[in-house]
Amino acid sequence: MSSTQPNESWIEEFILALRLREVRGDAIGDATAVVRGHIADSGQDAHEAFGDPSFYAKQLDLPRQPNLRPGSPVIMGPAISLTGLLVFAQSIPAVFAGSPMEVSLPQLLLFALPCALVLALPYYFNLGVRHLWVFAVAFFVVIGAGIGAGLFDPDRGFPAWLNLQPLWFAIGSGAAMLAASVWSVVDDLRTPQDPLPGPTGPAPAPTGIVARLIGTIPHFLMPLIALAFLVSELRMP
Amino acid sequence: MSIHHAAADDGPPGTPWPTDWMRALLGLCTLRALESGPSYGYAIIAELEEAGLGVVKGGTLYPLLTRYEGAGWVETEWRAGTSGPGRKYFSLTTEGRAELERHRRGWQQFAALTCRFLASEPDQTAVSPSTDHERQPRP
Repeated sequence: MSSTQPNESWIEEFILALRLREVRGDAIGDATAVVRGHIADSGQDAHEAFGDPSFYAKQLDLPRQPNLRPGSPVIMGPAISLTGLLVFAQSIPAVFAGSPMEVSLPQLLLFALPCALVLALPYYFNLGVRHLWVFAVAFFVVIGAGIGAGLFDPDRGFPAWLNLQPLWFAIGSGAAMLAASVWSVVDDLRTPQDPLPGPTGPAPAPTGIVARLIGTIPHFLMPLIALAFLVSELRMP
Repeated sequence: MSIHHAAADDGPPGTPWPTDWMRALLGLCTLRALESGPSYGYAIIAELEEAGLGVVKGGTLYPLLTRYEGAGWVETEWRAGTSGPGRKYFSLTTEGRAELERHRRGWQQFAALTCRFLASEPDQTAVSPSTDHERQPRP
């Protein structure tokens, strides 16, 4: 016989599996309603009637609407912002010191690593949601790259591979960060909301514009970090 | 594919139908269950079970119906339930009916051939591959 709690857990896993397959919200709402109707009719548990939720989601093979694809604004926006932040953080101290911006080759490669991880996100995102250690590894790789880049700084005796005028890089990277953030916000607001409407009930109320705008604040994370960095440099004697 | 089998009426009690048989025929039997009019998942399963074909799980039936909907053989309609959640009704389209007829005729011919073959007396004079092999001239 069906019992509510295991069925709700099964349905949550099923919705997650369909979301990870990037199935449209209305199709997920439809498939979920079929499951609810069937377990109500048959008296079976969802697991008994449908088996493993991920396997059933795969078997249904519902049409997909991929958003997290390589080169999409969802990926490119954060990648540009992160690259901008790395360049900004490297150029600002040189601007205030009145010295050229020097970058060693190992530093450059280590800076490229976090950007590559962001660009490659569509290839390991689903795996990361299922196995959180994947994201943990990516996070520690980013932290490690940051620490490593500091260790290979030309100030520590490593040969400078790039010797650049920092002011233009500081302005350019700051502008790139802001532009990428605005691009991400516009893309976010233009992307249709994808709630999970039931097939027989009323459609869920759309999220208000204020709530949607609040939801876009994380897109400005990199420019905000850059601003904090700039303020701390200004305060230094 | 998960199908719980009913006991075969003519076989020993508790003998299930082989999984492969039902796997091959579930699509045709599902189309047949919709021939008389729109029906929903659990009712289709109940009809197949009542016909002695075994118990089909929802996890097997709905992906099949989804594929048929994609192929244009069935169309769907949600009907609100008097109590509890609504039900998704499936009905045959014109293409679905044509597909049912085509498969039904094909299956009837195949089943008749199979029955005829199974009922025939073994041909004692037939040459088995092993015998044939033995008759090959030695190099």
